[in-house]
Amino acid sequence: MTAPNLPSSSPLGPSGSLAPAVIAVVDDDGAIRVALSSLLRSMGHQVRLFATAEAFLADDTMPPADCVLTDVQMPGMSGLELQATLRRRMPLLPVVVITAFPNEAVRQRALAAGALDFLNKPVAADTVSRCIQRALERRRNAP
Amino acid sequence: MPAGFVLAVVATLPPVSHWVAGGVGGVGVVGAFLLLFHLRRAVWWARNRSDVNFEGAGISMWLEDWTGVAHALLALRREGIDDVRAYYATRPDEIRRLRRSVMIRDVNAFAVELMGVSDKSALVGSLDRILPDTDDTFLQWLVAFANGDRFYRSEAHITRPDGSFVDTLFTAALPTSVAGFAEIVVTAIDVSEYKTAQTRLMAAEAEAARASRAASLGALTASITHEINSPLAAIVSNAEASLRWLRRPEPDLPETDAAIAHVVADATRARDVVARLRTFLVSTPRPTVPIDLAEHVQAAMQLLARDLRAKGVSVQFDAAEDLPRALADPVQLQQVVINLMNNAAEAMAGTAGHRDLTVTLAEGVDGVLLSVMDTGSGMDEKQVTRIFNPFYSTKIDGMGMGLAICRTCVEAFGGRIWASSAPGKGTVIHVLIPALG
Repeated sequence: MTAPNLPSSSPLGPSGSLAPAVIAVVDDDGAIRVALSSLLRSMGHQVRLFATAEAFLADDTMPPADCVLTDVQMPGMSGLELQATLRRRMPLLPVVVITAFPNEAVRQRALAAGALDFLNKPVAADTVSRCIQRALERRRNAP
Repeated sequence: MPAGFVLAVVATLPPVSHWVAGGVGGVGVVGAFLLLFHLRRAVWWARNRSDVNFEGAGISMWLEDWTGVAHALLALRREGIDDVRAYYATRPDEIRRLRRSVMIRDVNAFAVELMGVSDKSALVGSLDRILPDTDDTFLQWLVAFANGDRFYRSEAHITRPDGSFVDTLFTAALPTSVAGFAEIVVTAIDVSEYKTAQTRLMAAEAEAARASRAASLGALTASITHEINSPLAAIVSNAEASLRWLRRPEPDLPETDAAIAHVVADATRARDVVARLRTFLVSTPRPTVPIDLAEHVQAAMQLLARDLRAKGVSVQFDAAEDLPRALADPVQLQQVVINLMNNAAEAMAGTAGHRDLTVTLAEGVDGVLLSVMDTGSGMDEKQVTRIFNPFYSTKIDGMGMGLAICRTCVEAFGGRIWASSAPGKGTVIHVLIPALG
């Protein structure tokens, strides 16, 4: 078994110059929220959990997160609608869409609407890790 | 009834015969000549009137000689064979021989037009030439004769000399004496357009049913994917998280412990999903209802009629009388019958000789026995034992699922399915379906 990347005290790798990132997880499935929370925290991130897209939008913490991981199928507002709303309100906030029901049409729509990535559940930790790194780099490099 | 109409014209003659009787008795030789002249004229008129009716009828009329059939049926009766249908259903070669013996002696102008020929001489001859091998109405003719029916009406798919087909609806007054078999008048009208519309409607209905099954299967697959993937996703994330907690320079045991506890909980959830699915898909038997198998088999045949004809397959069907009602799910049963008939037709696709598909229903030991017999190339013993296995196929492009699905369906309503085959001769698939008491 290959050893996973051991997190240093900072989640952003050897440079260690940045503060831990805050990742918002939006998923109506409690077990998924708990699992992603543990995984992201084991990577050194801080995690904020939301059961609905509406709950995330209603939260007035500023900034709400450094990166959003959202499910697609949720009661009420869907992950794609959340993505569209965030694109208008916070265009610089990277959004990663994760779904348990892979569907090429949804994937195309999400990527066309500017999703950073479109991941299928179950997703490997390394994939999540790389994806978050990319999101944070993009955020850091944003004007 | 055009045949009856011709008789009605002849029946208008009695006034003439009165003249004859009166004339000879009272007026003498001159009068007799005069009356003979009148009589001749009347006979000429009557003959031409019937010609006018035969030729001028707005319907095709065929004068046919069925004497050979009469003798064959009489021979059967002498041998004490009463069930003509059962006798001929399993003897397609006999049927072909009899069909060849029927002679078309005359046809009217409308028939000439219907058949797209220039002259009636193109049609005079054996019935065999216009009633193709794939026609299944000939056996019904034989049964109607044997039953002593007064009329026979049916649809027939006949061949024009140019090779095209025409669907007809025909009627004949059946003879009451052997001599009458020599002059049977058959009337036929072209119903091709109605048949085409009907076939389109049936195909559309079948397609709608198939689409709805596919749609529900698609929805089911989507739902299963979602239900199974969600706990799997949680398991993977928790397991990877626990590894990461454990492999930190200072392992975080409480977090590891919590993540592993979640793995167990999520795995339990996945197991419950699978258990629910099993209950839904396997254990819930589809309701079986008492059904008339003959009716369902014939409906399936009708659905496939056009396909089978196109493949040059001639279909025979025989159901024993007074069969008990079978207990099965009608939808699944129809799928089984269609599947078996399609398989039989495909098994004969490369056959050079006659392609006979014979379907019979008989009373079995504890149910109704459906047999689907083909005259294809057959299979050896080793193949026969494997044909019901999933993904096993004798066809080049076969999925190998047809018979496996048939077996699942048949076993779902408590039946049995098996095959017997002779290489070079053909295959019979037997299905025993439970029946009411």
